[in-house]
This record gives sequence, C-alpha cells and structure tokens, in this order.
Amino acid sequence: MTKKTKAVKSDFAKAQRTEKIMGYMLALPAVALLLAFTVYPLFYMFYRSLYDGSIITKNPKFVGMENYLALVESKDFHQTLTNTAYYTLVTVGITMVLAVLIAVWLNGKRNRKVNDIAQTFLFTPHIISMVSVSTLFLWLMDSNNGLFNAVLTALGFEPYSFLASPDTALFSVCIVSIWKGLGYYVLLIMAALQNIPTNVYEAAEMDDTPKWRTFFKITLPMISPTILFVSVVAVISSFKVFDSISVMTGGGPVNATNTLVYYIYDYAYKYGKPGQACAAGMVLLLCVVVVTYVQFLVGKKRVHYQ
Amino acid sequence: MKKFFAMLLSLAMMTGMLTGCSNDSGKDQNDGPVTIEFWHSMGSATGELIQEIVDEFNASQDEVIVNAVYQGDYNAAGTKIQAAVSGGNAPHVAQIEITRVGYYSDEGILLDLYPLANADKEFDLDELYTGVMNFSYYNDQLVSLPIARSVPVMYYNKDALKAVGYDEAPKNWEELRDASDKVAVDGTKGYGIALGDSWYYLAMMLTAGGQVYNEEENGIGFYDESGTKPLQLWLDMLADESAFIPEGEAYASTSALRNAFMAGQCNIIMQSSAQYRNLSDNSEFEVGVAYIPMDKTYAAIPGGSNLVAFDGMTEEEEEATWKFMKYMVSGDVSGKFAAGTGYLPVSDAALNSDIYQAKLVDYPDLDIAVGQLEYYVKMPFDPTYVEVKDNIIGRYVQECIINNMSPEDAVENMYQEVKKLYE
Repeated sequence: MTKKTKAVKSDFAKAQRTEKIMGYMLALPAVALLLAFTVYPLFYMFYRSLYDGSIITKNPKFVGMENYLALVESKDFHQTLTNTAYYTLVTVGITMVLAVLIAVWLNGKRNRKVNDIAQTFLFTPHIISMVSVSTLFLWLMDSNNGLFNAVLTALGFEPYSFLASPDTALFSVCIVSIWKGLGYYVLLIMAALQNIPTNVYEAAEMDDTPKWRTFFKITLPMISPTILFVSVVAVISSFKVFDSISVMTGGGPVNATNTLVYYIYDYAYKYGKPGQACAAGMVLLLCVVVVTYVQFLVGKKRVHYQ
Repeated sequence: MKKFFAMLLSLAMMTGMLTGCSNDSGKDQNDGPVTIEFWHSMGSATGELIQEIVDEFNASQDEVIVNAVYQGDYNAAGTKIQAAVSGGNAPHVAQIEITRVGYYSDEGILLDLYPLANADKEFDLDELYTGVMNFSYYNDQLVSLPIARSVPVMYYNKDALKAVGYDEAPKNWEELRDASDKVAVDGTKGYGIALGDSWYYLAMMLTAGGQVYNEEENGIGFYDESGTKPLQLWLDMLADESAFIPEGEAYASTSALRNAFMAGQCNIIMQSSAQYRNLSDNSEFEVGVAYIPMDKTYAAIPGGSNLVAFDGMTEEEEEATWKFMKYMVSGDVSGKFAAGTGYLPVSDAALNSDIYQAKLVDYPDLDIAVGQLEYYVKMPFDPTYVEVKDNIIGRYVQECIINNMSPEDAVENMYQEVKKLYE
C-alpha cells in the first residue's frame, strides 16, 4: 500500500483534484446555510413534535406520538386541512385558467397599446405587500359599507356577505390571493408563449386549423413545462398562506379560514403548544412533498419538453 | 498558494458567519448607571406617553437608564418575548397581557418580586387595588405588577340616547334591549357586538351570575343558564335588528367596532375602559361611560397587561429593575398614565393624584371604570387560559351567533372541550 501511494501522480490528476476540492469549498457557504436554516430546522421540528411543553420551557417532556394523535382527534385540525385544500384548489385552479387565457389574449398581435397597459395593471398587484392588499380588500369587502356591495346593490344584486359569513369567508380570501398573484403568473406564461416558434402556427394556419384546436393542440402542449412549473410554485405558496389570513380574518369566523400555517402559528406562540405546532408542520411538509411529487408524476406524462 | 489563501478566506468567512450571532452583550460591572431593557406593547399616542414616562424616570435619577422598546401589540410582542426567552436574550422588564402571565409563571422564568418589594421601606403592596392584583401572585411568588389594566365598560352616544328618553345609561339587560331598539332608527343600529373577542361575552356572562372557571379550576364556571343567556340575548337583538356585528380586521375585531361607533353606525358598544380618551376625542357626539349592564349583578372581568421581570439577572440589575417597576406603579406615574389613556389607576394614590383629578374636568366619566373595580371577579391564572378563551369560548360564541348553533349546544361544547384540556 505504502509503495502505491508513493507513486508520483501526474500533474494533470493533481490539478483535477485541487479543482474538485475548490468546487466543494465554493459550494460550502451555500450548503452550510442550507444545512443551518433548512435541514437542521426540519429535523428539529420532527424532534420537537415528539415533545410536550412550551417554547420557553427548560425541560420538554417526551410524549411520543401524542401530539400527532391530538391532531388526528382535533376537529379543528381537520377543518384546517379541508380549508387549506379548498384554498389551494380554488386559488391555483382559477389562477391557472385565468393566467393562461389572459396570457394568450395579451400575446395576441392586435391592440398592442391596450395590451401593454393591461399588462402593467395586471402585474402591479404582485409588487404590493400582501398586508396592504389585505387591508385594502377588508374595506372593499365590508358587507355593510364596502365598495363591492355598493356596486352589487346598485346593479340590483343581493349583497354578498364576503368575510362576515363562515360560508363565504374562505372564498373571499381566495379572491384576494388570485387578484394579487395573477399578474405574476401571466407574465411567466407570456414568456413561454413568446418562445413558441412561429413556424408551428404558420403550418397550422396553412392547414386551416380552427383556433380552439390550435390552442389545445399547439399552444397548451408547447407551454406545458411552464404550466407545470407555475402550478407547483402556486400550490406551494397556497399551502403557506398566512399574511392575508392573519390580517383579514384571524382564522375566523368560526374557524372557517383557519389554514395550516396559521394553525401552526397559533399553537406555537399563542397557545404555548409548540409540540402540536411542529406535528402540524410535519403534516404540512408531507402534504407539500406528496402534492409536488404527484404534480411531477403527472407532468412526466403530460408535459412536452422541446 | 493563491488558491490556498482563497480557501482560507472562505473558511474564515464561514466561521465568522456561524459565530456572528452568538455575541452576548456584556453586562456592565462598573459603577456607572445600570441599563435595563423594557419591552412594551403600547403603540401610537399611548406609546409616546410610555416613552415620556420612561424619559422622566431616566432624568429623575442617575443610577438606572431604561431603554424602552415598542415590540408591537400583545400578540406580536408575545411572539418576540418567547423567541427572546428561548434564545437567552430576554429583556429585563416586559409588558405582558394578563392572561399570558400564567404561561410565563408556570415555566418559572419570572423574577419573584416579593423579596424586593418586602425589603423596600418606601413601598407598600397593600396600597394597590385588590381588583388589579389578580394576576400578580403565582404559587406565593409576586410575579407581576399592574400597569395598563382595564375592565370592559359600556360606551354610549349620550346625544342619541337622550333623544329617545335615556338620560342615563341602560343599567340592566332589559334597558339595554329597550334602548337599543329605540335608538336604532334611520339605518343606524343600537348595540354593536365585537364577536372577535370573547372578553365581552364573558363580561355579560358574569353579570348573569356565572364564573369564568368552576371551583376546582378545571372547567368552565358557566355551564348553566348564565352561559346561554348572553348568547340568547345577542341572538334576539340581532334578530330584531337592534344589534349588529361590525366587520373589519381579524373578523369583527374590537377596532372595527370602535370605528363603527365613532362613525355613528351604532350607539351602544362594550369596549375596554382604556378606550375612553380615544372614543371621546374622535367622536362628534358626547360619549358616555357606564358599567356593563347587568342581569343579576354587576361584574368587572379584568383585562390589559402587567409588568414582569425575567429571572437570571445580576443583583445590580435586579435592583435597577425594581426601581423602575416601583416607579411605574407609583401614584403620580400611574395617575398620569391612567389620565392620558383611560387605563385604570392602580391605587388610591393614583386616583387622587393631581394630574388624574385634573383630567376629570374634561373627561367626567374617566373614573367610572374604577368604580366597577369593586365588582372584580376571580380569574383563572394558568397557562391554558389563553387557549380556553381565544380558541374554545370565542369559537363557540361565533358558532352560536353566526352559524346557527343553539346557545345550549354552544355552552355544552365549551364545557366538553375545556374539560378535555384539563384531563
């Protein structure tokens, strides 16, 4: 063995090795940050989910799966899960459909000026802070004095209860997040649309293909990688909804808008039960992993990469 | 060689990054003034008043310098304090919402002020009102002192009520109903209900003869008529449109209710006594203050916040902390704070202070809440109460009022769920 190591390596191999080490060293800061702020908290969250006691406690008590059992038994938590699922489906569903339609419309060659203005207006909400947007919508959606109901009643419709009723509150929160996120997703999809080579469309035009067919057979498949990406991002951000809930409803009325992350916050900091909060955090993690995995699985079959 | 230095440099940067956050502020040991950190939750005008009081304290002596920091409302500050405590960076003194004092006490991280208070010849604990000391003793330790304490009171539009024959405020539930009914004309409403805070439900329940907790302190003390009656009253009043529920921030919050009242949308509301100056200054009509109308008895459920100090400081810091806390509850300071806000004066000395008495000329109803203190009630003082109040009671009050659950079922659910927490 010692004789082998003594063998002089070629300069080439030596240089290659230093380069390799150098690469790791350069990646180290990023990896270290990831370990410190993502991986370690993840494991700590799991560890803490097995313990009882508040955040400030000096000696947490090991309780095994009790925190998870508490979640299974809690009607509140079940409602929180249903709320989160509803919020995600409605927000992502409506956002995706609208974003694709609007992007296709904006990408059209007619009315260049109108399109530019529309695009600016659509994108503006994205750069406003969610808290400001929520406060604004609180006023607009007030069922007694809000602008929305003033318009509805002026047009002869019944006033809508928006945030006042447990039946409509969650959908109202969805509207806010759709309004705010739409412009950003439209922009991403427009970028994809502009990358579709024009010759495909020209060929379709020569064959006299109907518009709707061009859309479903050419446009959609061509932008499917972007749609997949956008939907994954949208789903994850929907799972994490917090600001609008915190400002607009505080989880109410009657728990109707309580979502996973808000539930975690309440239990960790307000009710002094971080164990249960961490258990809920693990459930959130599981949900995001499963949903994202399914999305990629579906994507493999449906998405066409060029 | 160059590469080696590059590597060394990146390593150095790494270690710098990791150790950068563990830098502990050295406690000063020299003879200069002791600096103590004070975290409070008083925003806007009240925050300025707190700062003014702290500045006066700093100027009045040269041994202690208090550094007052606003940390957001009770919720936000609570989050920050917990994070700070678990990170070992707790402030010396903090203002904590009373129902959460039990949570910190239970962990044994609060400084027992009793030895300091006892040794201090200039200070007499008995001077403080009994009605504001109910969140101060935990397992025979003095863990907190009252600072911004309040009780819910009824505010009413004096002009509007006078017009319908109520020269004085409604005293009981029948009068409340009658007055609300009469005053609800031309689109305005009578009685506004802040459904987002169960404090007001509890206040009404207490007047119907219930208690917050039972004798054994392991379940609700209104598992009977006293629990259902306020709900039925609200349902009836909402049904005949003499009452309404405002909307706004965090669903039907108290701030939304205040806005509705000041805008003249409703004429009778229940709010913290601390809101008197605010409501009076910002309304175009004359604002009256009265006790929470009673069913069987008057009652005053405590609210607001106390001052606590955290354990683990040096002896010098403890002394400095005590000096500051003592100052905050002294007659003139408490009187000044109460006069400037509507929070309760914590002692007769505060009530009789010149500054408080002078304010009574402009705000004649300022001391009405103090009278209500006589009807103070026993309150649960343990870590679970926050969840009981906000998550369980608040939730089923809403279930009943806006989600068609019967008052009996709502109270039954409160009973069952609270019982589960104490099993």
